[in-house]
Amino acid sequence: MIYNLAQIIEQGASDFPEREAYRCMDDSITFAELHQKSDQLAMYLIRAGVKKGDRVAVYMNRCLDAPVAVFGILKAGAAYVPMDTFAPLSRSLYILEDCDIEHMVTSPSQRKKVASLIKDAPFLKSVIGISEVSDGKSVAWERVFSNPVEGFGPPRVLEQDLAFILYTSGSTGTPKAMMHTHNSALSLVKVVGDLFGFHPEDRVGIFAPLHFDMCMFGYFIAPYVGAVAIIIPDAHFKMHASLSALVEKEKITIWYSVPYVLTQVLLRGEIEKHDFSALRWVLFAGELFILKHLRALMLQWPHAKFGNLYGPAETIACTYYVVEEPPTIGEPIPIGTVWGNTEYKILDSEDRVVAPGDTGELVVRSASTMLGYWKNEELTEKAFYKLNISPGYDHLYYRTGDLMRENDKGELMFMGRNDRQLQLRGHRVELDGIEHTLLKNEDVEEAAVVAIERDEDHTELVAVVKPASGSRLNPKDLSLFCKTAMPSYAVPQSILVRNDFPRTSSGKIDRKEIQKELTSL
Amino acid sequence: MKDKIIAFLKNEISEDPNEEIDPRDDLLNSGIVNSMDMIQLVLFIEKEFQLVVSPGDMTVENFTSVESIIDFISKKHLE
Repeated sequence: MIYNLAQIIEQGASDFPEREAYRCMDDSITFAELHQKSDQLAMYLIRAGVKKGDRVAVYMNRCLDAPVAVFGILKAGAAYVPMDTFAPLSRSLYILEDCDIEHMVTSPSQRKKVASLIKDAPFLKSVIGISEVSDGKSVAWERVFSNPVEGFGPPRVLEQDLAFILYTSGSTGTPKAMMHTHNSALSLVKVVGDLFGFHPEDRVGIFAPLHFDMCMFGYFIAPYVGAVAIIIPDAHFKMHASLSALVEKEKITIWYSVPYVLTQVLLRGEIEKHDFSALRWVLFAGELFILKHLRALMLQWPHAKFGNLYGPAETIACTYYVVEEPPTIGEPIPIGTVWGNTEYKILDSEDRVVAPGDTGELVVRSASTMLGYWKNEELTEKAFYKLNISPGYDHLYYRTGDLMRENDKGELMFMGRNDRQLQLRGHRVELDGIEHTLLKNEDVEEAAVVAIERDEDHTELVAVVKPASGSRLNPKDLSLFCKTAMPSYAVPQSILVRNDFPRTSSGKIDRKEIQKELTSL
Repeated sequence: MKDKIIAFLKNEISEDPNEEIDPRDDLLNSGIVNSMDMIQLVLFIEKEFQLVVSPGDMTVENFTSVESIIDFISKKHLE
């Protein structure tokens, strides 16, 4: 019986030891190898003093050592803390300190960054996965793997034990750190694996870094059903022709990424030159898929089924909508409905359930919801809506901060973020709505609209747009277009044309960062 | 050519101008160049070395390291 994540590999190693569990470029690791190597890492960590409930950092690019790190840490009874290697060092240092981390697993390509990190983090006792840093702290894999596994008695790991802590990008203010348990991830694995019919012949692409909740599909659902997970290296997300070639070569059957990655393949990945016929599910989440791009992609890949997923990282994911037909422009696609083991309510600002069809905040109760925010009880308390059933028995719903309404079919429609709506000179302005309008212009590939508070009674709307390739977009024409397409109070005061946006490490447009940059001008 | 590219990476891309960049360092997987930097780097190469980088040229092989970028530029100049 599987009740913790490490047992997925243990079970696989006993049922089909020689089957490939993960692949990365021309390398792969079987279930048996992964089981043994992660045992050896767990043994090493325990001997180094790691106790149940401790946190161990994973500071790695996307590579085949990552699953060894993840399962080794879990087998030691610890929680893994995946870190973004593209983040500034100060931020990495903050996470190490915030989580009281003494041990870290890394990879040779991070050698330089790790060397500077170690200098500022004297509390680190061991850095596993590199041998080049000569400070007595680095531990090469050879040393870890030279340990015999005979006699290794792993600690008991329960489903309610902490499995990982995910940090938000926190471009403004202090980052939030979500605590997820084994149960939280396993609940998702079971529900989603069943819903989309993951099977042993599937080849599941991992299109997200380890610190991003979307990677769970490949990392955990794939081995759970005995399918191989394909880790796509960081380099391919910058080189879209290579990404297309890799997806073709690996015959990936399940794709789950942010829309941005799919859009890049559509527009810059020489999509027509590659064979994507193995794809059976194209799943996306994280931000709205720009309809004209989704439509073009669905027409390009008529053999694949498309699914729109939704869920804050606090819940990992919780709703889905199968897009049956290429969408018509101007009709947003629904978020859909919650899957099994999950329920929701739509609440007004007084926590009352809204009338059917009215807009309110979505609150979700699901097994894959986080335990709370690490070291922040106050924030955790605020994050949940507590429905008291009887004294001592509450139902906890996570407050998503997302505005939704049900359409006449009972499907959820995303109406924007709580913090993406504002009152401007007496009018309610929805920033996402302005973006939608801008995107209707053929010359616009992507758009971000932010509100900049110039002083107490003057807020300015600024649109930053990325032109479609080959277009001669100028702000003047676009401003005229806005004036014909939206009410005057919603027309952005300035339009900036840029080659690209600041993005979060998963590829989403980082609107908070844009706002910060523009405010400081 | 090599020095020009390394100077650009150090001054315009890297967070730390004192960072040593070896011509064989992996630029794409190590965290030296992110996707926004990539656009800048391609614009720089197009302008500095008078060539056009097409979508089909955007491959890991062509941009993995300073060395592979140099090979790519030489190949383009022969076309």
